[in-house]
Amino acid sequence: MTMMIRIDAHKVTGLDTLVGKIGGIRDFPKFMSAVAEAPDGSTVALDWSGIDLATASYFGSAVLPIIRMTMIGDLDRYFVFVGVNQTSLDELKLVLEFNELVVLLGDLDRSGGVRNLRVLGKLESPYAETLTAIQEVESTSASALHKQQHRTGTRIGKTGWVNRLSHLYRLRLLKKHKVGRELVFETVQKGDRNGR
Amino acid sequence: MSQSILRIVDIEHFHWTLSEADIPVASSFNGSLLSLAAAVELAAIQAHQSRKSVSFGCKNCPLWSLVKASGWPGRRGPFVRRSNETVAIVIPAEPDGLWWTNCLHQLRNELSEKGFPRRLAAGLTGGVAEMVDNVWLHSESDESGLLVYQVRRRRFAFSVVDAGIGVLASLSKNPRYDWLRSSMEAVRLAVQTGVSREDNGGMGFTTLLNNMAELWGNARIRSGEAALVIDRTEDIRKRKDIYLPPLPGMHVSVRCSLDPPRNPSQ
Repeated sequence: MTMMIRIDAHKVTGLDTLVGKIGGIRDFPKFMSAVAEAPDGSTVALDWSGIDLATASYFGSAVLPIIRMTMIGDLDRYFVFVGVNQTSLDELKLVLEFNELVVLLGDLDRSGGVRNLRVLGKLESPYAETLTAIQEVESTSASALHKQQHRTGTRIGKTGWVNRLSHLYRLRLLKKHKVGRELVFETVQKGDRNGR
Repeated sequence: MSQSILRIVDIEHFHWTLSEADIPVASSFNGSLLSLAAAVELAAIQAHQSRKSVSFGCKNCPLWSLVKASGWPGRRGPFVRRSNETVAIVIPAEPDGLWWTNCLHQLRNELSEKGFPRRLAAGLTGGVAEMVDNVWLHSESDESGLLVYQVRRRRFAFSVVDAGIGVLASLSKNPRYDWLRSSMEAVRLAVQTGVSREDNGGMGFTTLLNNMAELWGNARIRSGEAALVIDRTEDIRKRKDIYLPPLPGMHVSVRCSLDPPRNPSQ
């Protein structure tokens, strides 16, 4: 079972209104410290349900630097944004799209679990389709996707699938591990589709 | 008999008169009321002209009295004063997280109480917060900034002003924008997403303008010798460039409404 750590933005910051670049710079070390407590390779749910408002500038200086660190390999974590209200979601989307970043967004269920993972930010359709395909099966390899592609009518070589999966891994939208000699890619949280 | 209301265009005209005068000017707006943006612009002009022995008066205008009572730009610490539906907040030179968060709560609650949907109330509050953040980030001034806002039923207006270095000098510090030569170029650029003196910034105006997108009203960004007006008082959004006498710092004024104006020119 994949480990999921929850970081409550309200608890971390002590505020429910998170605005401006200055506020983000102030809170970046608090988020960084909370993230550092999660084990390497773990999935971290960043919970914004206690936040009334977070602006694009705030996200841009408090959280996006951490996301960038995972993408360049300086930090081994996977993030899911949860509990983001519509106003803050518009702001998060704005700053993600401007910076050409994508993150996973999920819903919190009553037991505190995360479900209904989807992508926030602009992800080109081949990658989005590949991610959807993996979410259907939770875990797979490039060769398995290559073998199954007759079902969807796609004609992509195995290398093409490897490239797509590797890109999604670089974006931290998928995890990967080795099984024997094969690289297996899996969703950042198993059981992430519709509460399965 | 109703009193005349002086609007920002009247103050712009006055500013030209003032800047072209050969001798110190004493002006009186007594008997007139000032709009919120006009009062704040006039206060900014007065602060700039204070060394030139220029004096103006505007007796019996509650908004002008409130702006003057704030003590801006001389006051150092945080200060809040309310007069009916108008609130003046002196923004301290250094950010103060908890105090400022409480001010924002108050604003958001007032917007909700006066008919703005919860989501929009939060979004507009975020827009105001971003403009104040710009004062802290970019004004490079030891003097305070000033926020004045007015919440009426389904209508909202605010002004944020500082007496700092202005948009042109601030943006020019980023080597990417060191080609800038005029305040107008700088203001036009500053409202674009991602444009800032530092990389990884420049989201504030987009936050503000996005949240105004579904509202009627206008936004005016004034700095140096330029003012850019983004006008949505009619069905089609328009932009207007206005060249003005120099004014240090920056003044962002917004008025917006959930309902279309009865007279778009007002």
